[in-house]
Amino acid sequence: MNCESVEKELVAYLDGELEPAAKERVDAHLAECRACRDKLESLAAALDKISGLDATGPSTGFAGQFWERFENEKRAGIGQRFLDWVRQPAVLVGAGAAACLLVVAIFAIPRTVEPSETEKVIASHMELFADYEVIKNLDILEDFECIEALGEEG
Amino acid sequence: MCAWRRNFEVFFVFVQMDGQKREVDDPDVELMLRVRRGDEAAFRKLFALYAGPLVGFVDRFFYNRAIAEEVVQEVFLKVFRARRSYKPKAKFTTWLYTIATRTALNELRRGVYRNKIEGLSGKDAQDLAGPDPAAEETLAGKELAGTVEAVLRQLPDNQRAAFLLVRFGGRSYSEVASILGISVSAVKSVVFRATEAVRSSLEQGKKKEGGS
Repeated sequence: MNCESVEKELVAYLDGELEPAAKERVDAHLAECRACRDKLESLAAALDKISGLDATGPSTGFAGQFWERFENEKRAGIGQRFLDWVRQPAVLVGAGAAACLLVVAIFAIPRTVEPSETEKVIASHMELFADYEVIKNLDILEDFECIEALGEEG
Repeated sequence: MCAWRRNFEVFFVFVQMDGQKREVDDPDVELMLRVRRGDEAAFRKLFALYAGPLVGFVDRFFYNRAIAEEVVQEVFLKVFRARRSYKPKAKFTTWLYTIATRTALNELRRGVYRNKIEGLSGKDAQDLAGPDPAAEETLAGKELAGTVEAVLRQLPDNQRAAFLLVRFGGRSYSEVASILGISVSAVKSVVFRATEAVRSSLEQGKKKEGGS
């Protein structure tokens, strides 16, 4: 391995990311090359500094804010799931069929409306309807008797 | 949860992972499977475990904690929304950092924060942080952070993400390859170039200090 190809392996070498065979080759080169050892040292110092950088931690209210947002999301999710369910073609067809059945039921089932007073009186004298054909011409019949009487007198 | 169903899920995971038993043993995968089954306590545990480190990681993209926190909240909401379709094909952290990296990169690309961040970069950011003459160590730390930040700003987004995932996310090269959808050798190359750029910048800073 020459210096250029070893140099490109040095960061992975420091990160412990080289395969055993590649690591052995780099080790062998480093044992003989002062310049690459210096480079390795310089890279190791840089990595050391980078790893020493303070990481930003979350603010004190961060978790509380998140769980509040989470609860809102969950609530919105329930409403959204219901809307999604309603918008399914099968559900829409089912709802339409149910509405049609309801309309048919409203018109097909006989209504039980309370009868009026006149209807009640008529119902209580149903026998009068048996002679209705005769009774409806009662006036004429009465006139007929008068005419007949006049005829007899004449 | 009844035992037969849990056993079935573990078996299912095992089959899905093509026999890679290692991933099934990941306790975080087990937690996420519980989340998938509707266990909110498991989700709270995952949040407690990873929200803090993720804020630190995402903050390196924006250098703004408020934005980092907003992004991390969005990441965990995405995790929760995706719970029903979760398939443990890899370590849980690989999945989580994939979501976090993509969300952060998308936010960066949207450019909503870019002006805000660039307005606060480098020396300005240090000035805003306020002088702290009593703490030389803190000052040195800030200068170092500024140097690293300046170098990272020069990198393309994907290279920057690879460097951040390895250095501040604690991810392995193979995980980074999976997260960014590139090869392990590409990760190696990108991480080398970024680290070398930081090293070179630090060396130059040291030389300037020596010369002045």
